[in-house]
Amino acid sequence: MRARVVSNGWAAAFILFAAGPVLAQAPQSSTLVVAVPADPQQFNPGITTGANTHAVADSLYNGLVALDRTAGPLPDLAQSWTIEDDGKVYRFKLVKGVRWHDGRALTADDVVFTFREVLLKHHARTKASLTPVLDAIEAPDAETVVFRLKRPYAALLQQLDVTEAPILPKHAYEGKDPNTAPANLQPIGTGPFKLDSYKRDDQIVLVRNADYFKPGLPKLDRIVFRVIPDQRTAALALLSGEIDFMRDVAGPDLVPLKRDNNVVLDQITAGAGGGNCIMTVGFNLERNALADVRVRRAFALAIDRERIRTDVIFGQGRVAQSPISSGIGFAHAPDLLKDFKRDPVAAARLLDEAGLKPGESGIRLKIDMVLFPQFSRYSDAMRQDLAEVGIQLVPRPLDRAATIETVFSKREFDTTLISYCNGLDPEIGVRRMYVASNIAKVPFSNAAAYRSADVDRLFDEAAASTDPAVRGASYRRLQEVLARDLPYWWLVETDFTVAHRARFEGFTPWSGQFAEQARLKP
Amino acid sequence: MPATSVHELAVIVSRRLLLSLMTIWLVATLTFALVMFAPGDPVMALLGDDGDVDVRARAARSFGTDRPALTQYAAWMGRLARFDLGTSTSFRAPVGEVIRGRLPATLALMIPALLLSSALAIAFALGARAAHGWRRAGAIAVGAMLCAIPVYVLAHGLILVFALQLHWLPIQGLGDPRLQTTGVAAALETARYLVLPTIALTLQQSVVLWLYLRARVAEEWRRLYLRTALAKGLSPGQATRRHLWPNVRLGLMHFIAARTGSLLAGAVLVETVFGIAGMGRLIVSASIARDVPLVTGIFLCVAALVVAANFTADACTVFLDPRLEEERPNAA
Repeated sequence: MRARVVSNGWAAAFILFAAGPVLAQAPQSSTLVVAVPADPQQFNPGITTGANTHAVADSLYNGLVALDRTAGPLPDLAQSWTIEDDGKVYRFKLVKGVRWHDGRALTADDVVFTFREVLLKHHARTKASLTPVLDAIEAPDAETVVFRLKRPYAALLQQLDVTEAPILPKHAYEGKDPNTAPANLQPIGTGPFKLDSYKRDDQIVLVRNADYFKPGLPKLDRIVFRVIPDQRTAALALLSGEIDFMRDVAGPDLVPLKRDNNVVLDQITAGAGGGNCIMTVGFNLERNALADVRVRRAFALAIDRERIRTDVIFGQGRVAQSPISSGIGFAHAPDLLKDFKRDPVAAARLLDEAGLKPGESGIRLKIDMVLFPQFSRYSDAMRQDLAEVGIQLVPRPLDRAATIETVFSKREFDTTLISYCNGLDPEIGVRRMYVASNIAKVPFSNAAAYRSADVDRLFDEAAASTDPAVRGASYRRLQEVLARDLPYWWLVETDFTVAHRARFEGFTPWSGQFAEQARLKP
Repeated sequence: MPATSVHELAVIVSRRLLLSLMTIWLVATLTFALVMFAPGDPVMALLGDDGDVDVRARAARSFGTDRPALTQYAAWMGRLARFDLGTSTSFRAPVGEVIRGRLPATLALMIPALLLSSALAIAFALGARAAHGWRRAGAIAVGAMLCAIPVYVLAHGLILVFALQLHWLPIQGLGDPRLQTTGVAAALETARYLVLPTIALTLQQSVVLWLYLRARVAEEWRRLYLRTALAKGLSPGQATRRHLWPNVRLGLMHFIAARTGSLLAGAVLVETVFGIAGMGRLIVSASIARDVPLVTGIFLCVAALVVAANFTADACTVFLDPRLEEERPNAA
């Protein structure tokens, strides 16, 4: 039965297969085909932090600065900058002769407008991090932009790249609602590529910007983004050569991709959703059982994090050593959590002390865990470990919108599993998880509802200085408090694997603008 | 046909039509309620990870999602009465337009799959009657196994064999993005890209149809009229064509019509695996975006499709039921 049905398919396949080679003219060699998991919906990266928009739109725009692999600032629209007044004034000199895709000249007014009217109102991360420190943005002349800050602020340059602060054309957005402006679908950028065509949920075609302000760039003629929701399909299409580039390769797909000489893998600490991410269990401290630190300690001791590293993320990352990622070197506290080796006996003792005796069938405590379905391998691993000490873990996989509402708006959960991306500076992605003022109905804020006056004060101290040594000392002290209080349990630092066909080179995948310098190998 | 029966027929048809409309309204209302009361909201789904309170409030106002559910329902029903499905919150375009853009790809997948799977099922069910003993048991076992394999596993299996091993067929999409073909070449190209998805969907559908039809045929062969037909000298083939087929085709038609929904469900998975931007994918992305107008619009269309398929099957009964032969106006 099966053989005959298949042979029928073969016949059909053969006819079309025969027609195939006739149609296959020499492919346009400098077209890069990129797989993206979802549609960008629109092309204004200034109004959203959504990864799907940035994955495509960042190639259409520029920031004031670009970032290198280790988050060091490089010139982009700003050719140079000076930091004055102990870090309270940043002065940027723009590159001369930059033109928008429609031919108009870029001026300092565009930059000021973008910050005032779009980024500080609509870009959730930039709004949250810059509003408290920013005093004014000024354009003393057409080629100069000055940021005046209320206090010294060290993380500014890391927040001015195309992902955090894309510069938009004033003439296309002035007087319009940036959420609905026509330029969101007919983008006018300064970037290396221009939008050519857009078929929703299907593909987006960008073409080379021949007037790009960086001489000799870009090298590619076209980029075609194919929307492929199934990561496994994307990996197979990369193997077959149908696509050339993909982000976020899943662990099980690594093996066949590594084996193939036509594919190059690159492990980076920043993905489309943010950088320096730590897979983190958040304890709802408003739940009685979890308010007891001994229970949280027992939870931490019960879990085998090394096994999560090997079996769940297939070695794409590290066991978390401290609450702040090792990717932020000056603030990281190496070996802070080294005493938390898996120890079920100690965990059981702590639970006994907390008054949680095993009931019938050995269960001491039943707790749920809200998480994205794609994280269920983590909860599977933890459920086994926790069962050994008598904690019954009930995973509640929910999609994005439902997770946000359940955890952050309604707070109807015991524990939750969240990939908290620390970003390039603790001010960007760490502070939000711990300070009491951020216990709010805001997605990915302080999920634990943790309150510590000491921690709050140390965050403020760290932010008030621009000296990495001074800041680092404060961050390390507050991490000691966190390791004692355990409002969260930090599992693993997760890396992202990007993969591309070996005939291309020169990608900058840690940046939103990943293909500015990409080219075919000579 | 006597006048009274025409009148009766009109009554029956209009009653069925009314019932169909009620069904569609019920589906629409249930869908609306489901999406409305599912946790999460469109604004949260649309904005990035760090949705700011002010930004969210502003977006909610512009979508109208800050109004009470009943108000939104009433407004939606009012528009529906004027055949206006509303505006999608995630696409920011009229729902009807969005759906129309997606239908061709899905139909290009579903119609060949429907025809091929029906043809395969009929050929195997009627032709393989002779199989007995272990061969029959084996065929049923294989069929049941194929039935149990989720279509996305089947799809990945097909990809591994035909795309990665044999390099015969492409894996995803409906055309090579590196080529810019037009006209006949583009159509052939698209057809080539549709082969694997169609096979995946066809395999799964045909097995279900075959298992059903096989059981029906076996049941019929135990009945006396076929024994009579063979006794009067007809070959099994002739008996099948003249006597058995007219008796099973009606049931098969209703079975196929009733499976329209499951065919679409199969298309959702197949489109996701093969990266095809059709209706199936639209359902998923609209649900994730909590796009109430779009989700309800799609389910309305799906309900209409299923109802229409069943209605058509009912209507065809009049022409295909041998017992109604004499009542047909053009009967000899």
